Amino acid sequence: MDIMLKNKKLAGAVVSEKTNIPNKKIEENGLPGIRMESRDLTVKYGTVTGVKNISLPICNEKVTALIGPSGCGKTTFLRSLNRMHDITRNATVSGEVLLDGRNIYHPKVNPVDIRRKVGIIFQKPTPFPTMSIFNNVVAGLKLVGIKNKKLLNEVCERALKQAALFDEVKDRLNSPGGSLSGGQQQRLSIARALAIEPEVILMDEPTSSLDPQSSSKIEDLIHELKKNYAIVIVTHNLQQAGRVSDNTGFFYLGELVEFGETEKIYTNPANKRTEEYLTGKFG
Amino acid sequence: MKMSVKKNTAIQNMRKDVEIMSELILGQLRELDNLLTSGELCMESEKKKKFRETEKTIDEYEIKISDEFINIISLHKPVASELRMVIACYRLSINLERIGDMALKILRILLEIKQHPNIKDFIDEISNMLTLTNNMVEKSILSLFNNDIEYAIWTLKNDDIIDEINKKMIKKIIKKNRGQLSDSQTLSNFINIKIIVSNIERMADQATNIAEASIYYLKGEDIRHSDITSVESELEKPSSDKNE
Repeated sequence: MDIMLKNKKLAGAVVSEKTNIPNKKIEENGLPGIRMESRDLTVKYGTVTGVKNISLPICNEKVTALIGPSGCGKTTFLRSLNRMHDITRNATVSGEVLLDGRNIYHPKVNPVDIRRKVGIIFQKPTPFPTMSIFNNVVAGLKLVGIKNKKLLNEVCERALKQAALFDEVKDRLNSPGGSLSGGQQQRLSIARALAIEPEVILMDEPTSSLDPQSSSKIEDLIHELKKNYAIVIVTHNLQQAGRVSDNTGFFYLGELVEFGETEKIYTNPANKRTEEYLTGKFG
Repeated sequence: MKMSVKKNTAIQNMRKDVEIMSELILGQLRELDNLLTSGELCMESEKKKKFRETEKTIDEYEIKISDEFINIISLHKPVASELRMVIACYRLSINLERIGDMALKILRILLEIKQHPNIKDFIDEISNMLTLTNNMVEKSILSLFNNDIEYAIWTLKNDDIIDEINKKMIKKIIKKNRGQLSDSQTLSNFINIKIIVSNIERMADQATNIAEASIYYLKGEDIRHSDITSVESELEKPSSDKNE
């Protein structure tokens, strides 16, 4: 089991063992490069609609930014991509979210497995404050029963390096996660998400609580990570979305108003509401 | 309607300065046109002085607009139509400054030309060429500030006509020159006419650049180095659902 996990995508291996859903290849969707895709996705909280009929592709090796004014449904949509609404009272989801062509809302899919494949980074860094840096990184692996010390060490080092944190903490891996600075804590949270080798990384305003220097490091990190992952980022910082993303979706009142290449959206948006939001006429 | 007041003011100020610079340039071109249509090829010293001073003011506006452009990009980070307007205004200012330089050069050379019967018909043709070029400059500027794509397309189409006139004029100069090389004054006049014609042709090119900048602002399309006839129908289409 350990050897297999070392060489394969950890979460992927677990999911395919536990679920019995036909494993459709990405190319069968007719859209090569698409790792994840929502189709007519609607999320409601009781009678209130959070997002309505969202169809949006998330591509490999690309960063997809979700922008829009507060309350427009960006975070609601993001959370629906790894079934976090399952634990939200009154939340109902309709439509589909396909990950590698399989609907993650299929009754036979275990939401915990999906959350392993689709990692999420929150606005505030979320390290376990008293847990050591090492244990913070490998917490996800330990949770699924992996105890091989050598493998945990390897994964920890790789994840910290991927999160551009290793050099700063390599001499104090046993220090508590809470002892790190805000920016370091956020990168630790990213390392923890990377340790379980997700396929898609969701980021919900990952730099909003960080200083400009730490934000810049996270942006550089996003740029590096996109070489291996599909990334979705929600941000209120329009300039950041412009800098880091390849595709941008503009949400307004729960609807996806416009989706396209970031360069196009930022220089010549097709929709009047996108134009008005970007130029600060509302929002 | 919520909008960053500082950003909006900065962009409006830049736009206003480009409008002032445009007015100055159009004034210079009108002076040249008057000089040519009068047929006298002489200008009062006061007018000459004013022409040179205006040219200096145009140069100052170019620097001012360049500073405004840098500040807007670095401080306000415009996007979408605001970004396109700022970029178009900056490109406009660069082209206007070059037109100003050429106008001054044309004036200097025109005043050096000595009257001679064999250049009379050249002056008339130069006058017609300048009038068309002035129209191109004016309409290209108006297309940007009045959101008028038709004026931009008109300007681009007329560039070919100016190129054609330029070629014909050069052929005519060569033809007229045959057998008159011994007359140094005539030769000097012909060389000067050639320089004037080339400068007018280059002013028309600048007008074309302005029209392209205007199209970039209006449509978000960069049509530089494209054939206007191949993109014209695309440009005339309304922009998706922006007018909804």
